[in-house]
Amino acid sequence: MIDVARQLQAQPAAVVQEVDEAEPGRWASVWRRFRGDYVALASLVVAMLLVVVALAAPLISTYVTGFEPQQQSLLRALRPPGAPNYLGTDELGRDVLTRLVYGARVSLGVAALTVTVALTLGAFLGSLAGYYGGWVDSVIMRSVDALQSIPSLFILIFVSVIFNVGPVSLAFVIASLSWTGISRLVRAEVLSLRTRDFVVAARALGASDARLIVHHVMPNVVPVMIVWATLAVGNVILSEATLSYLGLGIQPPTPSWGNMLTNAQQYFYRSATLVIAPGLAIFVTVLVVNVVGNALRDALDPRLGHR
Amino acid sequence: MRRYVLRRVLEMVPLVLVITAISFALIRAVPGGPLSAFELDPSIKPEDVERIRRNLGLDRPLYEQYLVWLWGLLHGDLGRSLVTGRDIAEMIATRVPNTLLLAVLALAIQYVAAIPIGVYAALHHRRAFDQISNLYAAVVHAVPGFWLGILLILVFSVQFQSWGLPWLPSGGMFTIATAGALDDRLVHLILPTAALAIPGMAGLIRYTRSAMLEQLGQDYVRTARAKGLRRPAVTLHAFRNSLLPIVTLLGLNLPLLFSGALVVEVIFQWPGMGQLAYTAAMQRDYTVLMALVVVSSVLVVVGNLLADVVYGLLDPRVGYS
Repeated sequence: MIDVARQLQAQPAAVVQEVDEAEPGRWASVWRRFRGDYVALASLVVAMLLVVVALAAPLISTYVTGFEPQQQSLLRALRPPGAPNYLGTDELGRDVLTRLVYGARVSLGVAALTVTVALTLGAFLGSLAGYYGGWVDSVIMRSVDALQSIPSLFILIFVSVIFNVGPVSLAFVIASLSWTGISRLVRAEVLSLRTRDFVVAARALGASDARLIVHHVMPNVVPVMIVWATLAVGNVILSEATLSYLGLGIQPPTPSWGNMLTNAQQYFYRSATLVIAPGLAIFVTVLVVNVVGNALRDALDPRLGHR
Repeated sequence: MRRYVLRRVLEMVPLVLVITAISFALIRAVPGGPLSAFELDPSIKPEDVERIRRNLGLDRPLYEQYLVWLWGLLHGDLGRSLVTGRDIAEMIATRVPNTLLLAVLALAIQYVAAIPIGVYAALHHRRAFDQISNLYAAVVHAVPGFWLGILLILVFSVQFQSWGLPWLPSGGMFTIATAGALDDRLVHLILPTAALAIPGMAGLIRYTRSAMLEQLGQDYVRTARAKGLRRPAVTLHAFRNSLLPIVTLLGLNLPLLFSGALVVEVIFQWPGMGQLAYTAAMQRDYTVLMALVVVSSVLVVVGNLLADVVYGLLDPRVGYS
């Protein structure tokens, strides 16, 4: 159905309407299938709550916790959980809950930027490789092979030592190592779409390569990209947290879930919350994002079934 | 067979060249450069700085410097540490066995434990055991590796000690007092190996399970069942065929294993390559870091090659053309 609509897309007016009608129907059925999975639905709600918390961090620190994320007080250092420090304080007397909330900003922000950059780069290179084949394909895919055979943490450490990274440059560095997965997926999709009737028809009608890729091929790759992006968010959060934990990612005093754990290891004799709270935040975030991603995959491609 | 291996080895050459070129380019992108401290020092004459530059070969074009460095690399000369002045090849050589011990042990344990679990889960598709193993995989997949390591220390070293239970050491390879007796070394291996094997198992269980499920849905399995073959025999047929993708996964997982080992080594003060990388990073020891990137990449590339060769040995259909 969609294929027929796309075949005729090159002709204007009446047919365009058909495309517009076909699209909402498709997304509605995806949502219907997604809605049926209660665990995924609950995970989506938690994920959205986390985003709200991250966005509202200044409001929460003013009205709920009453502390600033970098406000120190050595007299209040290493307090156990209890009002007014609901999750206790760290070794410098900073409120753990407030830092956790601000940490969500950094962790989710870096993850969102990283995935956007990686997705754009990966989809662009993957579609080029799949569409043109030949030496373009060889060069891009051999680079993918090379990147995938390097232990990425070694490179990440190397790069973040050489250039002092901030949140934005950190996102670009992680993205430059994580676009390989999606480029492979997009390439495979484009490779099979390229020879389909609706693309051939559009080419016969005189569409340029750029138009074919952007208007005819890529819209059909969107489901794959959405699923990959969702699942990548979790992995990127883990990478950023690992780097920050090692002291090579987000630098204190800016709180991130990873760097909150750096010093915590020295103090867990006195406060286990210091270790448990940030780790739990990472764990819950990655878990709900992964559940949503897996449910999206099932909803977007019902043929796969429940494996 | 011999030709195939030879071709794969030759294919590795450009890959390794690209990796070395990237690391070399990165190291030269460092702001300042090796002589900047001398240039700023008013007590050193500019012509002396020039002389040092010439002696070190830094006045030559970049590609020439790269080739000289590559030539040294081929002869096992990785240069000297910027911080300690020690020979890097020697520093790494003492660390590699420790990392391999940890990584290979963790790998062996995770394969031995995960494959039966994955097979059993596939055989009892959508039953309680399958659901639990799925849950385990999903949960462990979301746990940051370093946090798992810290939690293991928190429970088995700190809490067990405070509860008066036998507790496990929280780091190092052996206690100095026992001078490295075997049982002491084994006890020190438990926590780091667990921290490395537990996350690795999650992916492997999932993978084994789906590979096994795919085989169980094939026609030959139905035929075998229809002719009344005993269940264990059917399972064995399906299992042998699902081993192939599992072996491929081994090759793909090597980079992950090295990255995981790095974190675990830092947390448990395990004197391997990862901990060396961490120390070098903290001291901004660029030459050591560069050498480690190259050495670990080469190890991974070689590991991939071995996995591919084993894949071919297992599956006669894979042609060595």
